[in-house]
Amino acid sequence: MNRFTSRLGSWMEEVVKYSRYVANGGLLFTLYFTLIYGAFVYNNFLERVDGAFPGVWIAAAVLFIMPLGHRPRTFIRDADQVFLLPELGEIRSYMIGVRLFNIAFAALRGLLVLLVLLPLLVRTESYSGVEVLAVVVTMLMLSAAGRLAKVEGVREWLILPFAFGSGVLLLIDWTLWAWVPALAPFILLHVKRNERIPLLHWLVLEEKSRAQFERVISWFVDLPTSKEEVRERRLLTRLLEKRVLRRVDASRYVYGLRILRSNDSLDLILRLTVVALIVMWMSGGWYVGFVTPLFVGLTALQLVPLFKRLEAVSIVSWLPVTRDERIEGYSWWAMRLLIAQSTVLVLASIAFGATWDAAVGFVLSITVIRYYLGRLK
Amino acid sequence: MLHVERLNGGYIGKQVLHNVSFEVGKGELVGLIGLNGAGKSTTIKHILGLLSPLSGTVKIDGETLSSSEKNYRKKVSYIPETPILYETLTLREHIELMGKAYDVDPDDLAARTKRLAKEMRMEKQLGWFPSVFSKGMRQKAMILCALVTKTPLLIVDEPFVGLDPLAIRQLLSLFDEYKQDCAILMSTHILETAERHCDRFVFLHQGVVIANGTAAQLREKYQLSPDATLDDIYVEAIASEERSS
Repeated sequence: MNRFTSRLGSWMEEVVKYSRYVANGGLLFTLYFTLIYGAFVYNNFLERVDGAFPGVWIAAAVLFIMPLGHRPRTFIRDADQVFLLPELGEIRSYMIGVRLFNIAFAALRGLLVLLVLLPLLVRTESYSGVEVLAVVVTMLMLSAAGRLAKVEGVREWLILPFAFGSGVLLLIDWTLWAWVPALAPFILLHVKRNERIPLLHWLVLEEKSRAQFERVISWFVDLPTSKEEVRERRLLTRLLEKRVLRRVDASRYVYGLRILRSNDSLDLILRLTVVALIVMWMSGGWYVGFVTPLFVGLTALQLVPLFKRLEAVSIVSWLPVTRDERIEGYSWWAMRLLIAQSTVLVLASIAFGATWDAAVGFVLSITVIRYYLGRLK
Repeated sequence: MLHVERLNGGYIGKQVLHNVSFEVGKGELVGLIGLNGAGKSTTIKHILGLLSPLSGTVKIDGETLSSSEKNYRKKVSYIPETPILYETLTLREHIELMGKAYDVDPDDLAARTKRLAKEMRMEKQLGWFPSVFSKGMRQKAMILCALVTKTPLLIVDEPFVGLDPLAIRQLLSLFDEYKQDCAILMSTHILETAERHCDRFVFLHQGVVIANGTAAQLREKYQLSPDATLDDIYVEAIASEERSS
């Protein structure tokens, strides 16, 4: 067994192990419910949609963003900086393995997007079977090109003009040829490919990808050691510094800043709020008000393990800040953010046609927030 | 200032410390010396209240952890061997956090930060996030965070790891200044430096205090010549302990 297959094997073992934890967790049922609800809402939407809907514009936009946001895995470990050094020039099979794995993963991501996009396209456009195949191939190629660009250390934006080209061909009804611009990045990537493993670059990629994997897993299982991503957010920090942070105690200060800058808290709330708004827009039935507690619940559920993670490696363990004060400080922020999210979603649900269900949704949201924040203790 | 009395402790299923007793008075810098695994870090964790003792007491300025956790913790600051910093907070924000946690007057905090940051050559780094710090900078950041609190007791675990010679010299002069109104307990392996700056030494071996006193007292105890270094005293202490056991 070569080095790549042995590492792929341990990765798969890890995935299976965590899948078992995830399958036993309560959140999975909430996710199933959300997915089924989402599918139901989307199906209703598709039944109402006609040829006037700009499906092709959405497809072009999706093609354009397809190369972005990839987190390739390289399976490089810290210890490789020492122990892999003598072999760097010789382990070509490892590099091929990493490339193929990432192409497969990117294709999978493309297929998941297509699962949602294709039903819309075939309803709004009169595509032949070959044209649908061309869209599928283009999507998969652009996704793979974006991921491979990261692996080879090529800037992602270099792939964007080709993605743009494919999108334009879709818009001018040359769908059959959309794959041609998507092929060009592979020539660029072949020219710029690494001959030896770029150890540090691949180590950073692996750490980022692993952090993302752990972040997703931590929604279901406590993973106190997982890393967080930091965003400076200078303007927001300054605003908060003047109005709130200067006056609050140590625990509210530290959690305020961490929630503000961590990818797992403020970003999570924004992401889930946007998804909730899309679900509301597509549903438009009497049940629109119930989207609020559903998504507020999902957000609250993920903020609980975040607190445990923030606690795990913490200076405050020896500072004069008791655990009760820390829980209170974190709850203070979480409560305000979740109520703000509920308020935004309730107002949006009213705009999307909710009536009495908006009020019920708000009351349910508050109950859900109180329940989950109670679990911090 | 610090009274450790007949402390027995360690981890679940493994007792590390056996009847550990020693004191650190105001104005003293006491060196906690021992081999790897002697129990130095475990002793420190017990003093900080991160581990619960099996028996015995730890008092800081007459206060125990059980009498008032908050008051107890306000009397001690800590510089760990491995820097622990929040990746989401800049150095200035870490200092702000320390000020809030230890109730330091904001004007005093600002003045101390300015002076200490200048002395430790960290003024430029105040607005930086720890992710861009070098190993030495991370250690300096921890030192800065602990020193701005001006607590009655400062506990330092291997403070010289990762510091350049200039920073070590600066840190020792800051310790000399800090101990004038406070007490410092410092765990270290660098005996030459400890000899020059510590007022007393506590030798820990396999979780037991085998010697405690000034360099002169320890030389006398082990019948060594007046020019014997702390290194010599330490080697003799360990040898004598192993002979007797």
